[in-house]
Amino acid sequence: MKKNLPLAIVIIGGFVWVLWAFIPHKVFSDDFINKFYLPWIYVQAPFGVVLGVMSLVMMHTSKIQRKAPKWQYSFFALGGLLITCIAGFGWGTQNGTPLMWMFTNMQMPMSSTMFALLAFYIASAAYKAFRARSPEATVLLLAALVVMLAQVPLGLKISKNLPDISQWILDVPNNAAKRGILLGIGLGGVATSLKILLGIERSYLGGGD
Amino acid sequence: MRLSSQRIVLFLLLGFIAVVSISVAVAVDDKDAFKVKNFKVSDIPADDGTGLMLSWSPLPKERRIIEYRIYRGIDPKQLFFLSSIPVNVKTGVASETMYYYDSAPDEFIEIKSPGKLKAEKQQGKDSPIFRNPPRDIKLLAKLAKHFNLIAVLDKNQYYYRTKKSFSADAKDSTAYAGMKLFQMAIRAGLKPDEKYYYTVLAVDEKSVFHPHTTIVPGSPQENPPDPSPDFNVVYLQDAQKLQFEWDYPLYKDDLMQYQIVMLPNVSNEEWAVKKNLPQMGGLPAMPLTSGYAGYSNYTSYDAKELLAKGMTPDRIANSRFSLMLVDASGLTSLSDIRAPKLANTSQLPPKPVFRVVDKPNDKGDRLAVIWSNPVVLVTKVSFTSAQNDKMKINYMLNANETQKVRNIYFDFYRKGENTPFKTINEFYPDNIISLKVPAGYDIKQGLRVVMKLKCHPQIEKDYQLEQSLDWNDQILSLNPGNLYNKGNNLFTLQNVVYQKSPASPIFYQAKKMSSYDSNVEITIPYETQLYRQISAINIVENGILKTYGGKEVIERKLTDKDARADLVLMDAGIDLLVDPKTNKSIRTSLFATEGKKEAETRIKDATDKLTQLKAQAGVLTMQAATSPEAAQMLAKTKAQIEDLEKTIQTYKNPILEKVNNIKSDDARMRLVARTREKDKRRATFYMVRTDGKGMFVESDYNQDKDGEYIYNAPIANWFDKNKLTALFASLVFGCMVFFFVRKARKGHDLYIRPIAGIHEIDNAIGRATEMGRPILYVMGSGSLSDISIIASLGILSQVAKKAAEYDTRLIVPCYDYIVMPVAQEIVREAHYEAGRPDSYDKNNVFYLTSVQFAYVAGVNGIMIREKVATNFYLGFFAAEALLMTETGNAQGTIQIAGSDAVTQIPFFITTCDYTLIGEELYAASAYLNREPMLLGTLKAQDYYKFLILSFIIVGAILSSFQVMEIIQVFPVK
Repeated sequence: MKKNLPLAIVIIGGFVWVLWAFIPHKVFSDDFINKFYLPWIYVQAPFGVVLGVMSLVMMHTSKIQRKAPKWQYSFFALGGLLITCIAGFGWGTQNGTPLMWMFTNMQMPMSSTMFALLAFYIASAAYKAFRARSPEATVLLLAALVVMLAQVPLGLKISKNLPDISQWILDVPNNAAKRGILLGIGLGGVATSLKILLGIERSYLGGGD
Repeated sequence: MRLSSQRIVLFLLLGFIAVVSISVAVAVDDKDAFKVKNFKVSDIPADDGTGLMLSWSPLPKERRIIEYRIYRGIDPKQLFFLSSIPVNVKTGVASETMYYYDSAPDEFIEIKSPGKLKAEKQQGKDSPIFRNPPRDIKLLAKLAKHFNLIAVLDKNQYYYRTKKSFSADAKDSTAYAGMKLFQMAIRAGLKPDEKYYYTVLAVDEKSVFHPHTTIVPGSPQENPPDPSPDFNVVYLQDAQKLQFEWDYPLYKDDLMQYQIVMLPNVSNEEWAVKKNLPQMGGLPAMPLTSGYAGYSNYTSYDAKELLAKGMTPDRIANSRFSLMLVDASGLTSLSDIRAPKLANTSQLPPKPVFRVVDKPNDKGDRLAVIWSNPVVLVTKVSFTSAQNDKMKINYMLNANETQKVRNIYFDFYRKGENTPFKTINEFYPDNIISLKVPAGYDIKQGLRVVMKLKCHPQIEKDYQLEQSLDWNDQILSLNPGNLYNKGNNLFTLQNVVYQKSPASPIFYQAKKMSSYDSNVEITIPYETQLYRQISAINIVENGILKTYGGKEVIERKLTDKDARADLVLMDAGIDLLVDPKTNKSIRTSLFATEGKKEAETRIKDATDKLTQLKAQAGVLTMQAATSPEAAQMLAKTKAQIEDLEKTIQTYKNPILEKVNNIKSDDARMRLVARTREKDKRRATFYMVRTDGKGMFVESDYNQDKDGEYIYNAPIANWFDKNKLTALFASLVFGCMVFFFVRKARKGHDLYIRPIAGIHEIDNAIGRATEMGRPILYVMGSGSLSDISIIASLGILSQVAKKAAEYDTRLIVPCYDYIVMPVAQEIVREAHYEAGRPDSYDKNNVFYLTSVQFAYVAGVNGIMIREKVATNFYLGFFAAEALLMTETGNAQGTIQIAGSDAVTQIPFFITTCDYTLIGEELYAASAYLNREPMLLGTLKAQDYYKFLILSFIIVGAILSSFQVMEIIQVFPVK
């Protein structure tokens, strides 16, 4: 029962979406899906948030209690959670409130800093990728060189055909490979969905009988 | 001068006063610097008296303003937030003056409105400005008489949740539909001659609300309408017909009537003076024709009537004409005078012929009006060679779902020649073709292209479109010219579609389309909301019922029939249907008793009057033979009798009788709702083809042989036929899955190609065990609705089992709080299966954060602090992928990644030891546990992929030989 009931819910819910894809009728698409079925999604989110917050608090509390390595950081995590909650519940989430101030002046710069690191990591990854260790890597290196040179004025100085070659690389071999992967992903997606709908794939249900 | 201590004190005192004064002055100046200046409120000219125009000078961009907030009220001591105008903080406002038009009923009380009166932020204790009007019925009641209030209701709330309510006014016995304020949103419009107060304030980028400007009053005034900005007259001499076409002024909402006036040949200057004088300054103006204004913008007049009155064609041709517009208050405007353009019928555009079809595969809210075969036209020519002898030609195809275009044939001609030098058969319309110009031809002479179409259903064979491609020195290319069909220049014509519902007596303009459109889609939406004028507001206090909304508040004691709640009152009348026999609209009440009573009263009143009129008609019949006045009266009386008989017949409509025989309000309303919603969603159409200057031709009306309009209603479809191929393909795939699962269950060995990344999972776990360090399992930034996350959870189950067997710590930081409990359950179960429930620690599977880069920071921190030996990145990833894998790489961990995010796969390949590409991730779970059911699906997937590949290859080969059947079987999207 513990496993069969959720499985039945998933299978029925999944088939509703399958029907939605094929039935445009107002009674089904508007009256049933939009007005009745979708609002249930709003119900599940708050429960998820409670679980998430509980997990975070439990983990860090346990860390502090056990004096686990770098346990002092857990105070920052819990403090941050508490202050954000107070700011959000106390003054709201509109512009000009402490929560938005923290978001704009603390979270945004920190996120931007992390994102900015990406530029250096890309350079380091590119260095690794472009080492001509094998014939395949050499092809990759050459293709990348052509595409990169075509993006800068120097490329046009070297050869006026470089932008065309670059575009061809992007449009034909690159696109073909990408579409091949996407085709596989699409089919894999359908297969996985089918496995879930038919109850073959049950790993997402976790354990229990 | 000696500097004594007294003088020092004096100097210091003076210095202090100076500093304080300057500081205060600067502060005052600074405060004023953010105050909006030149704020004015003025009446909107030429409107119906429900609009005011607000203007002010915007602050300079150095003030970093992000919005201007506008407040309105009926009392200078209490103004509510009305609207805000956002401003680009970097560019500011370029113009010297900003405007806001308070002219349409705007949102007054809505779902976000505060529950009680809230002062605006940062405005001080005594500030007169407040946030949105609160959802407070008592306050609304006080404001009611100053605004035109409209309730926006969910239709079901109105049908089934209204309370029968009565006004406190003893003279008014009407049963109103009463609803609570929380059941509706309210819009408020201005009323003519009422006094309103406005102010505006600026908000800067730090969200500082600066002081508001001076509160300024304004009062909307009813004005005469603006004259028509464009009025055209055409005199068709062969048909003796006058045609008129015009544009309406900007404010046309309250226009009621138009009238065409014929005038003698006067000068523009004389007309400009006399049109404003009483009786047009004595000019002999002759009204020709009139009609409803605001719906259509053309009319015609049979000039033979003028000829019959003794006027000559020359005099008509030399006359002048003006358009008079009359608004709801009887105020008028006259356009400039126009001399008629002389033309003949042969110069008119061809008469439009149209058909109305239901749009297929929809929820039943679309119709298509089709008036032409599909239209194709060249839109752009670009040369692809330096010698200008090769070009790419972009074209546009206008067709709809019911007009399938199979082939487009482009015949290219040199200028002045009648034999095409090239014919291109465009068998797959991708909106682009290539053309090579014949050697030696000077392209600057231009080209001519003739386009023919092969369609399904078939169209007439002589249908073709022609366009010239002329050289343009400025763009150094060929420029597509006018588009011709049978000599008509399609670029100068417009197709105007008019629409009418059964309840409406007149047609209104639905859409105006260019002539190179072949059809138009008309949406007839399902009714979800109703708009109802608020009649009054009832407040109950201490057993007293108070009704607000009129000039005075009326009070009386509550009675048993009154609802004991504060309610908004609206008209309880609702349109039911249009009687098909009499074409009269039937209205009924929301309430069963009142509905039945209303029908009976109408029948009784009509019957009583009918009896009187019949008696009167009998007398008039006897007198009619001798008295022409009596004959005239008799005709009028007979018309009235006919109308009353129709009214009686209308209110004896069987559906209305059925409705009124139902006693339960809810059951009755269910039938009312079904009937009215079905009846309202019908429409009839007709078309006008015009050059916009009076040369127009009307289509025939869509009528049956008895002259009754034929109404079309969109049909809701239960199956989207466009997805038939997808359904078939899914079924085939399903069958293949069943086949292979069965085969696998029977014990057949299914070969699955080895995937290195999956093989290495065991080794990676083993390495962590040997090193005595933990394993990190990251599922990325997806949620449980992503297939990659579901696939990843399947792999997690296998990894957790192995880790439990080896007693290696597995850390799973989760991005999504819904994924977390599932992951916890999977890991727990894996420990149980491995026989190590004791080693399961719930705190190793935890929620980290749902913020992308914070998640990266968290994961990277764990990686470094815990000194993990193995990293799994399996799931959905975006920009965070490289940030994590590079850190892992720097730490020297073994890394196995897998994702269906195509853009991140290159990063994984570069920085990880093994990568599962796309579908390999989905297959991994089946691959690891070798369960026959899962292996069967994997095998079916491979065969299905082979099937798709076969279709691609066969389709590509066949379409190269112009056999398009296979491609056409598959939907484009």
